[in-house]
Amino acid sequence: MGYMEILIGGIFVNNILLAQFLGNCPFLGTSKKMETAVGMAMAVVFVLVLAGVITWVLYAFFLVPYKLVYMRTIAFILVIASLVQFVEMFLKKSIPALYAGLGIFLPLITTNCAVFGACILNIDKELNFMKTLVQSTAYAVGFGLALILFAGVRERIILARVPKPLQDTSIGLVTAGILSLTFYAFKGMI
Amino acid sequence: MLNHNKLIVSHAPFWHNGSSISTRSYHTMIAALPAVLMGIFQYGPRALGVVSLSISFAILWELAINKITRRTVSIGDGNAALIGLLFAMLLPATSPWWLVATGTFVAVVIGKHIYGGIGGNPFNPVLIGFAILIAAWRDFFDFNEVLVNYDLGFAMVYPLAAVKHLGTAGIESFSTAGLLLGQQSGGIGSTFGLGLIFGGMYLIARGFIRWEISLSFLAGVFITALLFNLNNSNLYAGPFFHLFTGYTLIGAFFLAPEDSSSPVNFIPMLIYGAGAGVMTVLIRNIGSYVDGVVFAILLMNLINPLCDKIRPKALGKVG
Repeated sequence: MGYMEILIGGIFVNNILLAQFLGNCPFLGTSKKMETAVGMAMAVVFVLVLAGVITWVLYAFFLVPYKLVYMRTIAFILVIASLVQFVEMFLKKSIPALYAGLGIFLPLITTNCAVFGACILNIDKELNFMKTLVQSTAYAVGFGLALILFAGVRERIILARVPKPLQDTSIGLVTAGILSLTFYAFKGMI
Repeated sequence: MLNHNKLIVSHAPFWHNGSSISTRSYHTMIAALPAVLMGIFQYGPRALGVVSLSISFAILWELAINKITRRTVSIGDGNAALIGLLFAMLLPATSPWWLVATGTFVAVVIGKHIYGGIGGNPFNPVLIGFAILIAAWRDFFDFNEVLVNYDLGFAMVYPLAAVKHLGTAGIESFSTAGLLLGQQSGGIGSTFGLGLIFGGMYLIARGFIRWEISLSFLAGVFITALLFNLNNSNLYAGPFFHLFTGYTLIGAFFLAPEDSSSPVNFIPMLIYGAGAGVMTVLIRNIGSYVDGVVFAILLMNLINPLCDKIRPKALGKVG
């Protein structure tokens, strides 16, 4: 597989949110406003790309030689958690408004299935270092793209006369399903 | 509705031009009639049954959801009937009744009413209904399979399936004029190209749809198909073939310009139409579905809110 195929595959065809259904919690939680969605997308891009690379290095040069592969989950979570802590400190100091907007979802990137899932998928597919980098970037951009598109749609839904039982998260879930359906468009392209 | 008392002092507007939702719906239905009548003529009473059933079910679901949500009954504005008609135009004539019922339920209730009714839906209701049916019961939309018992005087081969499986060698028997006159198998109201073009022209002339969307959609299909064809003419069909087969024309004139799910400004309309056209041919040529119009337009519906952020500068705004 060439790099271009990995990139297109990761962003569109195997979109981590809409085709693999990982990381739906921040997808629904931070998509009500465009600014928070963009901020969350940026945070996830940063964390996911770095986590993908660092976990690959950790796995290849530490866990495998010392036969500690069974510690994979804990080691990866540790890496992701420290990265998230770093992002959190940075945002708190430099962009307090975004920090407040993201709220609980920022620390929750730690347990974001998308980040952890992408790291595990990279290892399981036995990709080399460069491909891991490209694949992680593709997944992260795909996550950001889906989140921003969803936020655009949701900003409109807030203005519509949605029936009471369906307001807010319920209509969000229905729309997320339809979003996933629209991504059927990319099926089979690579 | 209109205040007919002559001697009242009030603000503008002073005169209503008579346009309303029902006028729009009924004129769109009139524009769709040539293609539908051709379909009924070709496929006989079975097609008439599917069309009537689809319209009736759409109105029925609309009435039911109006009663359940305790809102004013809106079946009079004709939008539900229009959804039913357009939905039937996409279906093959052999669709069983439950397929029509499920599809119109999804279209009217999930596609339109849970988003607050007409004008609030972010996606085209007809396409949501149809996309869910394709995802759930793909066998019923394999036109070669379901229309095998019809003999209409031309090859009952779905052109897009033929080109997908056999390359351009499989479509030599199709002439452009024949495709335009409806000599191809397909959905009830989506094969008669000339009728759809006339309907679309009528809608554009009356101002019910915008020419920018239809034209850029067709241009997107044409250019992408041309590039694929120039690259490998044994594998990918030419641009005119893609323009007149499958759901291209019904998509360009009836589905893509749907009011609330398409952009309102000039440049966004061009992006929206061209994007849908390009995606259509991409799905047809390298995707896993035989026809790409449905998913391509749905995908562009999704991008529509972002497209609409490109808007003219407010009057008097500095910087």
